[in-house]
Order: sequence, then C-alpha cells, then structure tokens
Amino acid sequence: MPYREMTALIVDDDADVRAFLRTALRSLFSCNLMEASCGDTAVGIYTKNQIDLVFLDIQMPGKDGMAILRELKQTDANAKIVMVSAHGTMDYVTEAIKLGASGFILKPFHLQKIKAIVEKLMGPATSPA
Amino acid sequence: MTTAHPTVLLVDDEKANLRLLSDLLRQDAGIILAQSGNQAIEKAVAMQPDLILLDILMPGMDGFDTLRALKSMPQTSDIPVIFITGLDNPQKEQEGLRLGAQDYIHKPFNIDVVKARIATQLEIVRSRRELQTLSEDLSRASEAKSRFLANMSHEIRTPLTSIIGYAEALLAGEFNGDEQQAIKAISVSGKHLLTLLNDVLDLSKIEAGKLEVELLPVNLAALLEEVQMLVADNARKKHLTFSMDLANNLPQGILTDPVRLKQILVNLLSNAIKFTPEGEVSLSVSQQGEKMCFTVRDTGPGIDKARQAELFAPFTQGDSSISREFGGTGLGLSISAQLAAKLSGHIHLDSTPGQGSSFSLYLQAQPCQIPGKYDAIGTNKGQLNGKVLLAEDSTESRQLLKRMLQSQGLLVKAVENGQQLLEAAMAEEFDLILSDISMPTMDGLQAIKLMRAVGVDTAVIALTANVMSQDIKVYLESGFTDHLSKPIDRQKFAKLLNTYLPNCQNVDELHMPGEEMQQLMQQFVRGLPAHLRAIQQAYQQNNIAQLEQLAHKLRGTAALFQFKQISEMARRLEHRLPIDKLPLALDDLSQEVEKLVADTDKLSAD
Repeated sequence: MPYREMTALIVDDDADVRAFLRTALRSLFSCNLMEASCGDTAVGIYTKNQIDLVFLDIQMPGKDGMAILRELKQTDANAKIVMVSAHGTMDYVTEAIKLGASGFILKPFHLQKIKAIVEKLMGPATSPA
Repeated sequence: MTTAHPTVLLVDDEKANLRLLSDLLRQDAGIILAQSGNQAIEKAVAMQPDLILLDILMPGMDGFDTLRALKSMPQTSDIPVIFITGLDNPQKEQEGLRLGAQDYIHKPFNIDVVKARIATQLEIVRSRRELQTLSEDLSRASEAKSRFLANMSHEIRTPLTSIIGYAEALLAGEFNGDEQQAIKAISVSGKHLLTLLNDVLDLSKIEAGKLEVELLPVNLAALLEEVQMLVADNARKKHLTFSMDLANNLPQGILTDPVRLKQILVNLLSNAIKFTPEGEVSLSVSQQGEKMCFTVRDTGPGIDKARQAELFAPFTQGDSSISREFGGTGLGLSISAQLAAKLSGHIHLDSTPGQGSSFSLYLQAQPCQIPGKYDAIGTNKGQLNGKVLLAEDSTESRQLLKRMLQSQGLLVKAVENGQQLLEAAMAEEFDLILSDISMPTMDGLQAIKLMRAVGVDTAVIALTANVMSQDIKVYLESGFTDHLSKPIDRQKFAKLLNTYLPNCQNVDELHMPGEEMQQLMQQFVRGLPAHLRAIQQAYQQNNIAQLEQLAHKLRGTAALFQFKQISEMARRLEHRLPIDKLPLALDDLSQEVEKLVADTDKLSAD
C-alpha cells in the first residue's frame, strides 16, 4: 500500500457512508483519517487539527454541505475540499466550484476515482520506505 | 476603344478648325476626323469613338440632323456628343441639349475651357465603362454560381438517391443475404458526398484565405500506395492502363501536408482517368533539385491553349457539356492549384489537342525521417487496454464510435449529453474521454470547463464537425486535450488512441477489500430499519420534502453497498410519486428491508 502523508477528514451524517469511505481510503493509502457527522463538529476538527483534505457530503440535515463548504473556506481559503454527492444533484456543481470546492466524487464511489482525486490534490503517493 | 487612350471623333466642315482641335487633343486622345454629317455617322458606327465633337453649322446635313441620326442608332446612341458652335444663341443650344448633346464649346476656342470640358466627358465615359465591366463580371459570376448550384444539386442528389434507395431496400429485407453489396454502395456514396462537401468547404476556406496546411513527416511510398489504391480501381473499370514510375533517388520521407498532397494527386489522377476514353494514365515521381515533381500523364483528348488558363478557375470545366457527361463540380483543379501554392508549389499543364495532357505538380518538400505507422482502426483488433467515456448525442454516431472503441478491446461507457458526461466523469475514473461539442442540455464546452473545475484530469478529445482553427483554439483553451474532426478518419482515430492510451494497464478495477466490504454491507443492512422508520415518519407527518431528502440519501448509500433494489425503490420515493402511490412504494421498501435483514441475520447465524 503506498504511503500518503496526509490527514483526511470525512464529513457525513451517515455512519455507513463514513465507514465505506474510511475503508476505501485505507485500502488505497496508508493515511490518518478523522470523521465528523455534522457541520459544527467538522469546522471544530478542521480548526484544531492539521487537515490536508476534506471529503464533504452535500446532503446533510441541518447545516448542509454547501454551508459547511462556505464556512471552511472562510476559515482557510486554501482548504482542499472534495464534495461528496449522489447522481442527479448536478445543480450544486457550479455553486460548489464558485465557493472553492476542489473536486467531486459521486455515489456509488469508484475506488479509481477516489485514488485519482487524492493524487491530483495531494500529489502522487510514495511507496513505503 | 481603350480606356487608357480614348478616341475622339472631330466633325467640322472647316479644315482649319479640325487642325486646331487635333493639335489640341492629340496628346490625350486618338483622333478621328470627319468633314460632314454623313462621314461622321459612318465613322462613328465603324470606329466607336469615346466622344464626338460636332460642329452645328455644316452644309448639307447640319449638326442637329447628324445628332438626331446618331442618337437613333443603337451602335452610336450612347456616345456622348459635344457641340461646337460660334453662335451665341441660347435657343439653339437648348435645342441641341434636348436632342441629347452633353455639352457645348464655343468658337473661337478657349483652349483651357475646351480641354476641361472634353476631359470631363471622357472621365464620365471611363467611369461608365468601368461600371459596365463590373456589372458584366458580376452577372458572369452569378451565372457561374447558378450553374455550379445546379451541378451541385445534381451531384448531391445522385449519391443520396442511391443511399436512400439501398437503405430502404435493406429495411425491407430485399437483399436476402447479399446485404454486403448494399452496405458497400451506401458507404461509397456516403464517401462521395463527403468529398463533395469537403471540396466546397475547401474552396470557401481558400477564398476566405483560411485554409491551413500542416507539414508533417510523410512516408512517400505509403502515401503513393494509398493514392494508387484510391484511383486504380476506376482506371481498371475503364480498361485503362495505370502505371506508377518512381525515380530511384526518391527520399523515404518528405515534410509536407499528407492530406493535401494526396488530395492534389487523387484529383489530377481522377481527372485524367475521367477524361481519357482509352489508353493509359501514369503517375511519375522524381526529385529535381530541392523540388519533388509528380507528373500525371494521360492519352486523353488534350486541351487547347484557350481553355488551359480557364481550367484552373473555380466552377469551370473544359466545356460546360463536360459536367453533364462526366459529372464533377469543376472545383478540383482550382482547389488543387491553390493547395499546391499553399504547399510552396505549383501545377504546370502541358497539353496538345489530340495528344493527351500532362499535369505536373512541383512541390518544395524537404526530405525527412519517416514516422512510425499507425494501423487504422479495424485492422488490429483488441490491441488496447483502458476505460473510455464517450459523449455523443446522435444515436448512430454514438453506436458507431462505441463499436469502434470496443473493437480495440476498450471498455466504453457512452452517454448522450454534457450533463451525463460530467456526472460520469465525476463518478468514475476513465483513461480517456471523447466528447462531442454540440449536445443538448449541456454542451461539450460547458461540460469540459466544469470537468476541469471538479478535478477531472483525464485527457479529453473534442469530436467536432467544426474544423476552423480559431474554434479549435477555443476548445483547447477551455480544457480539451486534443480534437478529432467528424466524420472520423480511422487512421487519425487510431493514432489518437495510441497517443492517449499508451500501454494502459489499469483496466482491472480497484475493489474494496472483500471481507471488510462484507462487514460494511451487513452493517448497512442492520441500519436499514432505522432509515425506513425515518422515512415512514416523514410520510406520516406529511413532510414530503423531508421524505424526499431521506429517500435521496438512502438511494446513494444503498447503491454504494450494491443493494440495487433498495436504491431503485428509494429513487422512486425521491422522485415525487403522486401522493396516493406513496403507501404502496413504502410497503415495497419495507418488505425488501425485512427480507434483507432476515437474510443477513441468517448469514451471521451460520
């Protein structure tokens, strides 16, 4: 497994989806992962930790992904945020890009896509020393 | 009668006056003299002067009678006349002007006034003649275009008739196993139409100065072989001998535009074959200093000198009866000559009626290394690896392209518009993306901008019928990696695939680790009753927005864990079912959930 020196934050209210992403990322890279099930927790974790990459679900009850995206970008203009969404929610794409999202992945996830987007945003992974 | 040196007819019974006026005008005009009205009319008819200076008082036929006669004859009615008069008689002058005289000069002559008035009249004559020439040119051009359009519509109708005829016969099942023949006829006619269209486009591009050539290393032998394949069949059909004569010292590769060079050679050879009833057509190739020389000789009827120059003008053929007999648009030679010029060359014609013709293309083409050759799609099946995403709204084109890609061993996902393209590119990772430009819902340009913005790094090829270079520049600036013009040239297509899918090994999908995936799936199923309850609750509270949001969420998660049935049921709930259909859909979902939970419990108990 290639080593990817990064800490990623997974933000999704659905524990199953978080578990899937966690498992997927661990199967691709050896990296640190943190999780949040709502926007406030996410912003809290982001400000207190050195987070390299955020996977952020768009559809969440309460504060939705777009609002969290706006907040994270206000906290850190350079935040690298990949929006997570399901098919058929294209309306959000343009808006999310405007707000500064760095990428998109759609459910059902393809591992190649996740790998490609991480490598695009974080640079190619190195082999374990 | 030339505009550079106008002629003036001087009419006066007094020789002294004639002499005076001739001396005055000799420098600026050719002079014709007449001493009486009758003589004046005779000379005006015979020599068509640009201007007549006419004395009024003459014995016999006076100036007025002469003017009346001149104005009554069509050969002379347009020639302007200036009266010469010693009379200070406004009434007579008025009479003269009424009869059609342009102006007066008075005796005794004031030299400057005479010169100025004559110059004015000559200037008017010159302008009028220019206008006339222009109008004749215009009407000739418009006539040529009408003739061209008439030819074109005939040219287009013929292959179209054949295409439609064969296609309908195929649909009606009239071929009984011999469909190949019909399909071949359709393909040949289609290609002919394409050639025609390309000719017309080339011509309009050339006329607008927009035609561009692309200099590439070209394998000369391979190109000549292709040319031979394209024309040899036609020669055989007409029982003509076709031969190629290649000099020994030819370079292997030359730097030129292969498409354009092929176009010129095929055009010259096709013409030769078309117009030669019997005998021989040959192509000889030699190197002369820094130039390549391609000569096409035939044993046809030959072309007389007068027609030779016209041949290279657009819309003209040797004879207008030729287009009826032989077909063609009359564009080929004009295009070829202009293409040759674009390739720093020219075409020389040498022909004597009765002794055949020879057209020589001289080309400035540097020798060079030859590139590796790519096989056209279809010749090497299943050579490539990779996953390709294809967006094309036309069903026929999409299917055709999909098949071409699959025949190369590629995995293909095909979608119909920019929005689906964007979704697919966001969801999956592809090795190459091919996209049409003009599509409904979201066009290719919008899609590429969004794809690049959401982090899709894959090479994306624009498929486009639009080959104007400024448009291609826009495509590349918008994020496309490359472009391919439609209809697809198989050789170019193969080359592109080879460029962008070099030994692509990543066909094996990455998969979730099996055991962990099993656990995740079970976990998901255990959570399902809770999801279901939330949805039912939203329904009971008549909170449809909440219901839709929950259903949407469930659809995505279920798809993630590969529970397609649940995902599909959730999709139905999400998409605004009529309120009376909701209970049934909810029942279906709850049954499916129960079943899955029972299965999972059983599985973990085993």
